[in-house]
Amino acid sequence: MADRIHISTAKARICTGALMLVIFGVYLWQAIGLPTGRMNAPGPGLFPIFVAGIIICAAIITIFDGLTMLRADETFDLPLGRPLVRTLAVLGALLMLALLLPIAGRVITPFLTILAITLTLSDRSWIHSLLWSVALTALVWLTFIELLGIPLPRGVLLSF
Amino acid sequence: MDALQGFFYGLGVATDGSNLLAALAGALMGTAVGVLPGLGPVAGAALVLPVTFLFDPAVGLIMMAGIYYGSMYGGSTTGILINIPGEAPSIVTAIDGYQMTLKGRAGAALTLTAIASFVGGTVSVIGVMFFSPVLSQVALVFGSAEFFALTAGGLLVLSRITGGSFASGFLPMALGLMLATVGVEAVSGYARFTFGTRDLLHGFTLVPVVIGAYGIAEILFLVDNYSERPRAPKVTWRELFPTRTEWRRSVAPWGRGTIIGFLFGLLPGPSATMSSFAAYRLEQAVSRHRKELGTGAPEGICAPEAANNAAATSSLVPLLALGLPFSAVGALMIAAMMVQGIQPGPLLLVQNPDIFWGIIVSCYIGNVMLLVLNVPMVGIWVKLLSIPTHFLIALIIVIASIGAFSVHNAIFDVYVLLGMGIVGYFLRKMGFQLAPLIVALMLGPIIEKHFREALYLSNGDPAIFLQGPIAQAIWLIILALMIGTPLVKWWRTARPSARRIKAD
Repeated sequence: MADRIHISTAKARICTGALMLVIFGVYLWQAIGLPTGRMNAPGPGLFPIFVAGIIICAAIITIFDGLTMLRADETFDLPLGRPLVRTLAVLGALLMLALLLPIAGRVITPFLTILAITLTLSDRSWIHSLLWSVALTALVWLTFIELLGIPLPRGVLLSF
Repeated sequence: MDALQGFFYGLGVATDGSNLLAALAGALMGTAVGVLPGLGPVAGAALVLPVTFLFDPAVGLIMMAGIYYGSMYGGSTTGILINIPGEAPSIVTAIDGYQMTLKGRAGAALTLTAIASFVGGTVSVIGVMFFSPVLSQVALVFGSAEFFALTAGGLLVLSRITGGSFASGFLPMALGLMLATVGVEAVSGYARFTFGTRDLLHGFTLVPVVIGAYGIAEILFLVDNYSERPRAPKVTWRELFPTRTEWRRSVAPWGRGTIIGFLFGLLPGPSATMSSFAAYRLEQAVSRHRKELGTGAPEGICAPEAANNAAATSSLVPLLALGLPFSAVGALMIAAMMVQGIQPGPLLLVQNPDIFWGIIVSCYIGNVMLLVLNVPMVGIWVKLLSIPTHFLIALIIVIASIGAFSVHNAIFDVYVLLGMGIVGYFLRKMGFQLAPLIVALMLGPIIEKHFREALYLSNGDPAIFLQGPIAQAIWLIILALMIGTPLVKWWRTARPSARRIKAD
């Protein structure tokens, strides 16, 4: 199985431009609900309307840019197979950290995140990953919690 | 206070124990960030931003400046030794630097680049020292319309010259401006685009957006093309000394690179990268040994390295004199000032001379520290490369999350980090530039402030934006840059000699 998929840059840019048009619609719908004030006393809604104009220009320019690139046949690649699994694992670990931090707290969460990433990316034994995860968690604890005093959540499971 | 008085005043500030430590820490962290993959100077500076809030403003700003120019020193090490440049500005250095390594001259290449960085950085600081106060004085007569022209126009120019097609910079700029309008509006306290959620009241904070778009996206690139790095060759103490010929051939490129870098640093855009390419091109045109470029010529490493360090330093001019960040690191430094209650802009010199002169003089000190530490410590920097990539990735992910969380103690910012990581990854894959997004996010509220103030002062007459001679001059320069850039590009590809080269 190939571990890369090639995507046309031109088509991707056209899709990005189209997505910006949708974003423009939502943004403008919200912006026109804001008080614009008068020209000599501008309200909080005036500048967003100006920004909405820039967004639609950006969308049109990007679509046009994509259309002019169609002939160039330029591509970029995205991961498939094992590289995709690795990429998703790193994103999943970060999501897990965000979800677990308020619950499992400032010690267990970094430990689990480091362990998950090293187990996915490393070919070494799980004991090796486990020991290194403990060491790196201790390093994070000492630097950010003890030395710099950053108030990370203690969590509800264990209060340390 | 003239420049010399300012220098001695700044010397007193910069040699204060905590500021000296900050310069040292910044220089060391910057070198490490430059050497290691997965974190660039932007994400590195963003990571320390929340930490700087714990100290005096000068400490944090000196540290962030140190990270920026320190990373320029470190970025070339991997490029020279294993042909993998640590940062974009070191791409050109790797061409001749790696060839010198293959010829057994790695130590000499490392010494020459460290001295090139020192010369570029130090001479550029002298320029910053004399030029910033003058520009600051001129900017005191600027009103809202002039500042609107500078900020909005500067952002437009940045999006135009930052690389790729017009859309490559314009779309991220529009996204950045959009994100900048989210949250409680400063004048009326009105909540905009929050969709009724409390999390969005703070808006999109710069730190998670920067670490996500630069740091997490870079990690995803690293994982996407995951492989163990090649082993770097050992460099002995004796190999660090260049030959007499190598010394002689390096002097002129140091000077030429420094001048180019200083001038590029004054412009909006990725000045360090652009200046290193421009310096290499100049060597190809004027060097006596131009035919040797690409085969391990000292000129090919000295000019780009002097240029990128000079540009990194001179980009402090618009930052300190006008309060305008024309790079992502500059945006972070402005954010650091604002959080600590310091108003960036032309009055910084008058209201906070300790910050103004302290940062400038700390650059001298930091450059000396980097020269003294980099060459003898090259073995340690090379050892950093032997840290397994999976540990590095795991550590960066955790530290990035802590950095994002600690700004407002909000989990929401960790989700922003994740989201911006994905957005940054796809934007970079498609060839979009990220600097306009970051700078627009920072400049958005400043542009809005000057836009509204100008309309208020002119009783609602939009003609105010083009009435004054200074505003007119600024818009004319911006127009010239906007039109001139594609014209120069067209001329370079359409002229007969360029067509001949293409045909060959």
